[in-house]
Amino acid sequence: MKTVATGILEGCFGCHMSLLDLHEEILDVLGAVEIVYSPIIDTKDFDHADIGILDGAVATEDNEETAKKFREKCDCLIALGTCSSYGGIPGMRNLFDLQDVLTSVYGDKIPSSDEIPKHLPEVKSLDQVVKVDYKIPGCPPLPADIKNALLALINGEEPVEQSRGKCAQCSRVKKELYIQQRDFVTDGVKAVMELDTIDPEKCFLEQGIVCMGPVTREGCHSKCPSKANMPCRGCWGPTPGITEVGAKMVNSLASILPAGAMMFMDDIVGTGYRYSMAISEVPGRIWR
Amino acid sequence: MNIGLYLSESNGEVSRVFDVSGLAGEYMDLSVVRVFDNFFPARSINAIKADIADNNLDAVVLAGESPLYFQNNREASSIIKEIEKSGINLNRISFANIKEHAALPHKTNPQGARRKAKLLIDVAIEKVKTSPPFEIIEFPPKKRVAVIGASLEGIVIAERLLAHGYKVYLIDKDGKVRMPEEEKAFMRTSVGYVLGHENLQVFSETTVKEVIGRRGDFTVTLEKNGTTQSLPVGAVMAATGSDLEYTDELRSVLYLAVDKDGYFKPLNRHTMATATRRSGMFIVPPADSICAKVSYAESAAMGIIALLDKEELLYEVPVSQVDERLCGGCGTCIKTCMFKASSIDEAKRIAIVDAMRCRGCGNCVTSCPTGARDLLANPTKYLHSAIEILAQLPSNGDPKVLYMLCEGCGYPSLDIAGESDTEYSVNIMPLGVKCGARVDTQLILEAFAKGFDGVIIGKCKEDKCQNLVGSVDLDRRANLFREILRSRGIDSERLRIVAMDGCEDATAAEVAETFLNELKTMEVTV
Amino acid sequence: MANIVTIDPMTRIEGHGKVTIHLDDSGTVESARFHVMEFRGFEKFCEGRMVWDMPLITTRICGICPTAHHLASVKACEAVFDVELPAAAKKLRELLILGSGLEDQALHFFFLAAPDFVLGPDSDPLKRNVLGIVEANKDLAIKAIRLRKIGKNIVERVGGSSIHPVTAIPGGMSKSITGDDRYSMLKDADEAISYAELALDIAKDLFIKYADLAPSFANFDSLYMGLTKDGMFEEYDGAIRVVDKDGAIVADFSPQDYANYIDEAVEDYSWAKFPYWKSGGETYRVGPLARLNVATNIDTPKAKVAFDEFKAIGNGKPLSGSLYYHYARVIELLYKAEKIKELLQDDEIMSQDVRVKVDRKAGEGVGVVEAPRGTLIHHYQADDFGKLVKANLIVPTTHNNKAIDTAIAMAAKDNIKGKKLNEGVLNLVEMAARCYDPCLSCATHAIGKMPLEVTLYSHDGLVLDSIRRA
Repeated sequence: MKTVATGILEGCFGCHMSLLDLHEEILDVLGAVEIVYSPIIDTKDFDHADIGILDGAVATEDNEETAKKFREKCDCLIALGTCSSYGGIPGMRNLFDLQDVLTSVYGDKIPSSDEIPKHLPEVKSLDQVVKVDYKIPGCPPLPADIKNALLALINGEEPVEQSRGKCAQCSRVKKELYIQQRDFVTDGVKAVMELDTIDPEKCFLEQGIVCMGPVTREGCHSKCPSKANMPCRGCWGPTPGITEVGAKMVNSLASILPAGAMMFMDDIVGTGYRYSMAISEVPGRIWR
Repeated sequence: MNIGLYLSESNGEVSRVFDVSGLAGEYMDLSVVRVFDNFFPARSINAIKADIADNNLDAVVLAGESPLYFQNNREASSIIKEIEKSGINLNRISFANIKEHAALPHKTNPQGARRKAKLLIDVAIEKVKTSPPFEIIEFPPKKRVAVIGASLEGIVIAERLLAHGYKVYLIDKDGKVRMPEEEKAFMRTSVGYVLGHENLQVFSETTVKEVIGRRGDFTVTLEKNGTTQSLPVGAVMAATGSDLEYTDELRSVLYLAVDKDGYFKPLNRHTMATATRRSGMFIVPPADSICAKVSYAESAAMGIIALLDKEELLYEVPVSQVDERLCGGCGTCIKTCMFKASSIDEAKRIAIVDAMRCRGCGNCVTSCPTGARDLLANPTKYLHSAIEILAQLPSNGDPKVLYMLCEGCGYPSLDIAGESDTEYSVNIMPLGVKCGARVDTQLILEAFAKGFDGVIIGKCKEDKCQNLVGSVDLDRRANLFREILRSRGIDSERLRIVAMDGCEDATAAEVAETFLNELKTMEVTV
Repeated sequence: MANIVTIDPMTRIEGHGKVTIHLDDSGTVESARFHVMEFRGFEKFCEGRMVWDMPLITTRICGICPTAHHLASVKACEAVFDVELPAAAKKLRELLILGSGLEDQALHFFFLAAPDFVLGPDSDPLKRNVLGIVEANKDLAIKAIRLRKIGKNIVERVGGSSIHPVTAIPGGMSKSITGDDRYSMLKDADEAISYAELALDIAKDLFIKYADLAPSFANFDSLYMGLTKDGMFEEYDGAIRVVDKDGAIVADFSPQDYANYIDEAVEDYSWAKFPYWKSGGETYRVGPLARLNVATNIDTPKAKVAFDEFKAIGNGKPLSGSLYYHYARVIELLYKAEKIKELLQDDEIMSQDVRVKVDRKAGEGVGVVEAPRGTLIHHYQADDFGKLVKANLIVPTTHNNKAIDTAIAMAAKDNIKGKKLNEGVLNLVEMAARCYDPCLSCATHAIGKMPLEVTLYSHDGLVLDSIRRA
């Protein structure tokens, strides 16, 4: 029986919760592996595991140690979730200088006891710290995808990578975007709340809503646009073809949405880099 | 990969500034390295051809004159044809512009010039390493020609082509021959011959709606009184000469570049006055005298005959496929492409490229949000590595500037600076790109990350862009992108975009020098 | 240097947690400290974001109770834009928070607390986790899983995603529910109620079994804070009520005014702040126990019976023993199950009128909901374009930070005598923290017990004793 270790770095615990969301099926997974280390069991340490799973970004010295420990002890290391794969939302901290962030929250009384770990100047994805064998992106990844990846590895198979742009899985209809005519697909840029009605069938871009679908990896079955009537915010991270999600978003949207309107009506940086700031080529503020 | 590197001393113009042989000595790990005093004598090209055969070369790097020189000059372009004939794919021939971009503008700083030349050669080597070969297709050219404009030149060209046995479509937006009375007097017989010829078909009061395709294989779509008609032709002749209004009308259909006065821009004003950057499309420059007009027309007719007389034409398809593992069918490229070259396979939700329409400008590559697109002539991987290489220029205390230059205007302008002895700082590192539209903002971030202090982009003026929207799209992207720069603590003034008139003057050097000086006074931290 | 006992790691509870217990020379506990080990800086990096995106960003604060953040955030946005939402939208949001509460509290009670009760607190630590329950009582384990699934189904259908919901937008909900959604949720409602009743029975048995321990364990006086609607138990709407140890109302205030009543201190040893009652500096508690302590009534029939029984224990006065958190939690569980059914039987839940159009403008606003672990406050300020200028977030575990410190110290003081440790000590210290289900512990306790190591150091740093469980 394959041995599995799971651990958590800086994140929200949602990825482990997603594993629990297998509900009855979790028993199948637990029956197929031996868990040697995990927040779900009480062992304090482990010597070796066939498969290691880490969720969360690497943000503290503690996280870094845990990542290295897992790499050392696990034959195969999986980055589970978008934080672990691309830095995720914690990576947005990189938009600011660590000291500024601390000061803004704690004033001049920044906690500094030896008993709490120090934060790294920049939040990193797991593969910026150690070699990662597989990434299962998603915020959080779908329970079935975690299960399938695990079962594949247990059976010595390669997990299936979903790498296309997310529009491939979207149920919304694109009309304007498929017409070979140079013009903007809409005359303004809005927030969802500003629409008179949110058309449940029409592509969000064609409704003047900045949707991150085009620049996001498939895998979620486009659940926000297709089922929740909300635009994509990019939580599955980028496709393997790019690293600069925000820059790519700008390149893409500039010729299809009124760029001037977008500049004022939306938050380019926070929308573009929401889940992938940590893997940007220019990590954080380089002119320090 | 077996790479042959050939360096030219350019008859002393380069070797007077730095020792070319010494530079060559740094590339001994390549399959062949050779230094010529000049590329153009037959012995040089013969030596290259022999090397290709003897050493099984896959790629050739020419370090010397500007790549544009090899496009715009008859003797130089024939060298490229010879190399191609020896079995080297056109995309595996690259150029290091060590003459115009290193030796000439930095004569007073020979060490800097040499260091820069080294990096330019490194970039050219990287180019052939990272560029996949063009697909080559072979087809019989269509022996028909569309002549647009029933002008004096149009009539002369039609006459020559008809006499040569070609079918000619004479198209004009008006209903009569556009010639002043004094010209008509001279041309009466020709007009009669042409209009009465069985192989001529006249389309009067007809507008050209669209021209797609490639040399030897174009489709011209015409419209008259609301009905359209498509004609298959092997070449397209724009015989508008000095008619500015008609030129302007045709420009956006033919996608041909115009000069600063608004006339069609030839490949070379002096030696290739009727050829254009769109192979298979010909023009006649404006002229005053009948004599000059006739000789331009004859030259154009000769060019057309030389092209179409072949049994088979070779064509290198400069278009890349769409990576189906990445494309999500978002539609961005369809909307972005000015040339209607992108469309969608709705069932698979994957974009498709129409090679007959694609102009290879790279706008879709830049706009593709998944990275599914790439441009064979400017692969993304190459541009990233090139920036990394150029950033290796050792610091001399002054700011380092990456200068991205579009092929249409920026690059030629910096060439002119070199030729005209305009000196500028050696810290300005040039990188040619196909079009302003190929400037991916990811590259700009890469440049800052790798240590450049500023990025300047030399592009065409909006109304001169040969890809029509490249210049506009670059501006739109850059405007949004400045916010991203600021978010990283990079002063957005460190990105500058300058529109220039390509082949006219050395503006490119002056604006970059000004930019560099302004960078010196810019605060390091925002 | 004083002698220090370290409990490390108390991990995965929305981050890293650790406990140190300081001893004086005689080996008596001086103080105990609860360390929150990381800090993500949401308040800072949310500056410059569009304020209406906050409900989508702040869910990522917590993967266990994202719905509470989603709704507190959207309420704050609505306060910024000064907008009233349609009645049906409010009902959908109530359904959403109830569904998420159902699965969250089911998780805590069955997956975390049950191992102690079903298997016994002294059972083999290796088996004292949900896997042990599966072995010992598969039927109960399946029921626990089902109850969670029922809650998750509601969150997914109403919120659009079972973790990190997205449908609440300023002005209402992005979508209404379909007939299929309603049927799917309604058909499970009775099943959920029966499982909640089962949980209540188990809890009652527990309190009979531990009748001598329950009242005194980690029992300390404090203020209690929670939302009520004129005294009626409430989770989504209403005003904040604060009562003292005798149940007297200290304050009843609109959420917008929270800053007049609460202040936050920073301690060197934790990345979490320490809020306190501004006027008197007292510790206050939030969460299930606090909510029942501030409420004077609850409006579903079965929960009302349990509520009255609960109130009778303290003769109507607040209960202060930390273990009562567990009791209060299952009463809430029952309330949620009943209330879900009630809402789903109301035809208005099917209304298509679920949002009003909202225009951006500058403003400031506070949004408050009761998260499973207590009162959750989001406070935003936006500029003319709708960009967030300033944000302040106070999460339940932060409210309880001082209380958890106190509870741990009490458990330690009562049990660590001399310099020898045993497993029982670990258990008790852990139990004190677990009562609060700190969002530091809910995660750790996902299926079993947190890994726990207690080290007892002498004043010169020598390890006197160390116990590692498992």
